[in-house]
Amino acid sequence: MNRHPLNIIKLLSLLFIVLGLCLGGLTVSVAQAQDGSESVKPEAKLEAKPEAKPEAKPEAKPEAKPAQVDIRPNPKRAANKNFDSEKEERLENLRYKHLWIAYSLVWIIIFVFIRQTWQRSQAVSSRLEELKSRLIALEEKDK
Amino acid sequence: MNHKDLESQSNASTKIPILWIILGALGMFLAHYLVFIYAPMETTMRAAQRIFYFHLPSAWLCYIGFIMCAGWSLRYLMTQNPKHDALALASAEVGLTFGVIVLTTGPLWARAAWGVWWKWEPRLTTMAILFLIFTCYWVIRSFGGDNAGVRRFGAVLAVLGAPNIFFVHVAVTRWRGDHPNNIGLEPEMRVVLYSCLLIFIILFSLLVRLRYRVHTEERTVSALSRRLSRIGG
Amino acid sequence: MSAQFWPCFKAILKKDLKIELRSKETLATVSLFGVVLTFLFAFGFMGDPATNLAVAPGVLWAALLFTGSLSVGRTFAREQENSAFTALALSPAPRSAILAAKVLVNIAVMLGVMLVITPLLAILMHIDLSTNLFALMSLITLSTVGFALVATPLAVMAVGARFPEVLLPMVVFPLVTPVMICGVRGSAALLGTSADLDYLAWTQMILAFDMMIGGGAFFLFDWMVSE
Repeated sequence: MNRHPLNIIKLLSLLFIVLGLCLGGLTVSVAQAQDGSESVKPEAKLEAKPEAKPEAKPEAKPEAKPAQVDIRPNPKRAANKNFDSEKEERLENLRYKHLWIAYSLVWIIIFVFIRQTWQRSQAVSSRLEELKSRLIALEEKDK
Repeated sequence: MNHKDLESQSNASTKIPILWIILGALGMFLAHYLVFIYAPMETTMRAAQRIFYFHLPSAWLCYIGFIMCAGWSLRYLMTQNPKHDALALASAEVGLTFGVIVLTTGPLWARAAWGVWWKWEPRLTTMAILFLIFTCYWVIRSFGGDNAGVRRFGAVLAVLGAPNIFFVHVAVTRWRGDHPNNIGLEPEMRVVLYSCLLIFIILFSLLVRLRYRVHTEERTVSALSRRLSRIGG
Repeated sequence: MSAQFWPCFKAILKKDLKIELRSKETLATVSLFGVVLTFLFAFGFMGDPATNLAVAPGVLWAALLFTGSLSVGRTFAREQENSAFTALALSPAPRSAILAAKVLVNIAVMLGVMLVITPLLAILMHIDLSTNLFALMSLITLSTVGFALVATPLAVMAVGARFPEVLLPMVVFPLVTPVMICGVRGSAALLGTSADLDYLAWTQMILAFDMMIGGGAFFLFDWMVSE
């Protein structure tokens, strides 16, 4: 540390780092102020989604009931509904599949890391033991 | 250094943290209980949303690992203390492990939620670039040999890479931005998320300590063997 | 220490520029490489006028990165060939003066190369750059500065490493991603292909990046070079 003291160049560099970060941050805040509406949008979209679903469900049910009474559009609607539920089922399967894959991957990754660390530590400690015994032997010889 | 010094030194710095291991293992079981049984089903993404409980904590810890790596690297550059370098390397490696978790669970979630594996949006891109930088760091450190030049190169890379992320994030945010920012989480979900975070922090510190232990021991071994070969033992 | 900064800086800069101007080694080879690269990109991406306009910024900045990594890699390799760098590092010259001079030389060489590539690209892809020439030039200059500030200090350290020619680009490219994004988006805004933001905001961001990374490089450089 003492060999490279904090000289004027370093202080200037630090100043530049801070200035650069400020300028970068400023650019962002200006941009956010400019399109403030845009940055809010994703949140609004997401909050809207869960609300939209429950609303859609009760609406769908009363629609389905008159459809059962009325004969003519029935086959078409039933087919459509079948298609929808099939699609939903496939999506549900995909979700569960991805959930299992994700968690098993997490375990595999952590396991591989720990195993590798363990193997390296075993190899190192056996080597350390060997070197230690050699060192002790040398010390004995010196005496 | 005689063998007694060596023994005391290795004992002091490299004890295996048994308590932490038990805590971590129990914590992982608890985390799975919370994620799969306790957490309520989300309405839109349903089962796929449960990936999120491991995805978000590992993303945070990945960032923390890389920032720690940069901090220890800076200290290493200033002090030339090999311990700081070992800590930097250990935290980078653990950060990378969590990064791999983020980058595998992320696309799996994205596919189920958005229908695509990858989206060009700020956090994903920032994560990917950060991951690339620290993969380079890791590659240099593991294949570049173990001399002072390589260590210094890695340290500089880490120190320059971490603040760089700020700019990548800013740039990509302005380029295109669309990520689940504040998902309205129910209280139970919050409980699950934060306990997962806590458990992951325990796991993280445990892994860093184990890794650090390996690196310091390896350094002791190489120093010792160099010494012994010089004496001609 | 800082009192010696200017004389040392000027001496090293003069020496490097003299060598470069006499041999024209780096400038000639890297420019030629840039020309070849531009032709290859033109073959690869040539399409209708709208496509050309859309891909041109990406092509230009990719060419900047490739030629830049080549020329920066050369700066210290030349010193290394006759161990001149060891002498330079052992001399009492402040390290920051060495870095500043080298960065400036690199910027000069890269700007020279870009002076060849940019018009060539415009001709090959039928793009009219003359309307916003000054803005484009400032964008390119700032990107060059950013690249040189990141790559030069790392090039010093890559000299003694095992695979310097692979190592340098591998490390530098992820680090200059902000420059790439801002440069490409900024020049796309200039060419009118992207309407997201005006180029001034992007230019400002590259400037911020340059300041931050330049400060970091000068702050760290004392510790980077071994005796």
